[in-house]
Amino acid sequence: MNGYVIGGYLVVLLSLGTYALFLVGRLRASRRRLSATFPGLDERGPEETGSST
Amino acid sequence: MITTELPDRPTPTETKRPLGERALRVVGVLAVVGVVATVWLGLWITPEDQFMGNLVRLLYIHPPMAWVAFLAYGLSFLSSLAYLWPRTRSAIWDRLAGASAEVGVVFTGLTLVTGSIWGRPTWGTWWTWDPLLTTTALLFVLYLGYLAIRHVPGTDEVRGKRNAIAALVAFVDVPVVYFSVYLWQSLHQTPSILNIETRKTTVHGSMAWTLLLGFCSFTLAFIWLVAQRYRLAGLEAREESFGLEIALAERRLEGGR
Repeated sequence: MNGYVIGGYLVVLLSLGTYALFLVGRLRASRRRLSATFPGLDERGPEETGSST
Repeated sequence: MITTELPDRPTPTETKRPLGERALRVVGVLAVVGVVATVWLGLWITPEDQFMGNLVRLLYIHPPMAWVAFLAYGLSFLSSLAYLWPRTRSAIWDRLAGASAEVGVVFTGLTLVTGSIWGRPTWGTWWTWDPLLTTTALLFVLYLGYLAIRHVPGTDEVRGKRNAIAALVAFVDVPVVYFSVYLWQSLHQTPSILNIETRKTTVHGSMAWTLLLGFCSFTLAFIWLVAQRYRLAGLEAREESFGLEIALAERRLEGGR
């Protein structure tokens, strides 16, 4: 198999995988921070839940 | 860290969205299965091309990257329009535009990198100032600028309008990128499928199916990534929205000690 081909596939898979893990990690951290402060709070934005704050 | 009660805490029914959660999980699983199948078919099952040899295998990932980038910017454009339209104005659209653009930037970067990896053995160079490559690089920079603009402070409305206008301006380059191979003498080939000039598709058999699977799989990955980024933006908005409240509560606690 051509090294360029393997390199191309690796770049795509590793980049998308890293980005996905990065997003999931940030989501969990943000959820943890919010639930520690406001137990039972959901993740939608203020206007989606009708919150005025 | 302090624990306090929200004055307008959502009801339990608002906090549970099992259907959306499950649907997103299904999309994520399908995306992973589809991408794995594309890699398997692309690397081991499909035949070599008579002209490009093994390098044709890069084309099962490169065009899908470009397609998803266009899709992302299209969604960002439509969401920004919805935000600017007074009847539909909502921070939801602003967040969706931002989430979609960020994922679009990742896919544009991958389009440039995979194109460059293909160009080195095919054209003999990693980079050339070809119209398609140059306008794609410009697109990448424009949307990086858009993402930077999103962090400029201001009131919610000012920020939302500024973000939406910036997204519309950046989107102008998308049709320029697409038509650049038709408008100028480009080193880059015209599309192998849905070619608007020849109206022909030059990919057939297992190669065509693998390419189609690549398009579908990376589109599903895009949906999953945008959904995650959108949810994160929602949480960030909540944190920002309650930041002052948290600070005040902390101050009250400090004062009571």
